[in-house]
Amino acid sequence: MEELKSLVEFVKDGDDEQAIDLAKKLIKHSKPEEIISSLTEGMRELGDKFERKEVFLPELLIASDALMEVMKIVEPYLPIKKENKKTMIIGTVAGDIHEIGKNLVGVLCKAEGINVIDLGTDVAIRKFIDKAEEVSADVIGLSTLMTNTMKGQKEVVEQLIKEGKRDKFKVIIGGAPVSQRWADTIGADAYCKDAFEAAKYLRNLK
Amino acid sequence: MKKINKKNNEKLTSCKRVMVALKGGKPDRVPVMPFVRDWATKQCGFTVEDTMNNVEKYVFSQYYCARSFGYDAVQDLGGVHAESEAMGSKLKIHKNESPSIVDYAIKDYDKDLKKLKILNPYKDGRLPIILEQIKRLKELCKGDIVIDSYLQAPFRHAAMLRGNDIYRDIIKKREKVKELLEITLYSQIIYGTALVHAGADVISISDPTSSGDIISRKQWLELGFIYTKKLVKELKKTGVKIYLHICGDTSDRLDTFMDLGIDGMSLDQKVDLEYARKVMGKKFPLIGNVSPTNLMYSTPDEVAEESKICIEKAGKKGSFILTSGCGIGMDAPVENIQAMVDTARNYYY
Repeated sequence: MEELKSLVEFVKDGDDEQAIDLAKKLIKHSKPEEIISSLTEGMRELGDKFERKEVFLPELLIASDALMEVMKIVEPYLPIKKENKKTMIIGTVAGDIHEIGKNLVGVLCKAEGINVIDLGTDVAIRKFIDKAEEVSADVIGLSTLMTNTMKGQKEVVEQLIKEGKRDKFKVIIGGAPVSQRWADTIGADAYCKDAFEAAKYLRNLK
Repeated sequence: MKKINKKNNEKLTSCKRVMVALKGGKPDRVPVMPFVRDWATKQCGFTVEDTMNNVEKYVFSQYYCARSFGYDAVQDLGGVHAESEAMGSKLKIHKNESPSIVDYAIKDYDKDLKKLKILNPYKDGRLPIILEQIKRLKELCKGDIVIDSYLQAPFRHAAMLRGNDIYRDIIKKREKVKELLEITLYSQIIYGTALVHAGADVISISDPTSSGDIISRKQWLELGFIYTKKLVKELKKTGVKIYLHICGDTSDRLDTFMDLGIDGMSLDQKVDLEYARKVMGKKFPLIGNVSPTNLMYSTPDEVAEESKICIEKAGKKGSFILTSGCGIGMDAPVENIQAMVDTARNYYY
């Protein structure tokens, strides 16, 4: 138990070397589900600190790096129950190459047990929709950091409506220039102000 | 929409007006300078690509828009990331989107730092093109319209040489980041001085990398602040006016901006100008901060109202320039930009 607590602290501090060593040790005598749920809980605590502006993006980045490393060690031990897993497609919309926020969404949602498919940056509308259909995604997550490219989020929703596929997927949006108002305007299901909110949305999704 | 006051009510030239505001004074009316590059090229029927490598087209787009919309500055925003390109990062120019760095010069500090060469403004990358743009703008504007030149802050320049990993490095490889910052500081002193020699009246130092939404006040003070302050100190020797723009919510560090030696601070729309005025005092020149999102998607009346609120909050007694809180998108409706400009042009002191 103490060791698991230490692992969570190492991850939260972004100390990947210590986290990896300890995870390798722990996995031999702990339940992988327990490790993952402790880590997820730890990341939520970090999210609260982020909300209170006690930590900023650099701290989140190194913590999520460490989390990914530990997940790589733990995941092979997890029993496979794919059918229960929710699937999310994420990407930064066409014309925009910003990726920090989108990547954080990916890591945090993975930690919540979501099957995340990251299409990268500068992603065409068509690609979002085709991929979402191909993998029967539950959620499409659209990121953008520029006012110029906000329209890409709108166009994905419009195209889904046009093709009669709007009800198949939840569409969530995020990024510095967008807001709840923008989500309402374009008819997205949710606006998430940061990666932690996106993870929470996926966690609570029925 | 209110009718514009006749031009003859304007007692000052644009240049004089902006300078008075940046000295903490009260000009004839509120100065206004929208941050436009792609938007201006579109008004002239050019693509972004057209203007990135063609001096005449870029200069025309800036001059034409400043004249026909009646605002107070032309800008060399074509220079975004140009210093980092000149020092080895690869810039991709898109037909109708903002240019972006696709390959960063510093992949491995140990190998790449020593290969890094300080830029030569008259030779490297697109820097000579930008200097030429400034010269041409200066000839056209004849000291009437302000020439506002873009310079990356040392920390921004470092990020454009290193990529997003710089945010990890500031915790894990702090000493290497500082080594890089010494180099970018030196290069910005040289390039900034070249901007002044080419004709810049005002230098806008831009530091989105130090966004208040991304790094803490402490990280800002240890990295962005120190090197920007050194840069400002050197460039002030030329007599040029300097303002700084930082993105995001910087409400927790507004006091630090007053110690940089800058002539004005351009604030993101996330900062409440009333609060900024309170913290930074009655005289400190503030620049901002109509939301670029609203400029793109609101109605002209809403933009006019928001612009008026900005002026009331921070510019009632001068020391204020009205603009957007960040760069304006290409597709922002003409009527919205005009609404912002007209609000300032109708606000006489």
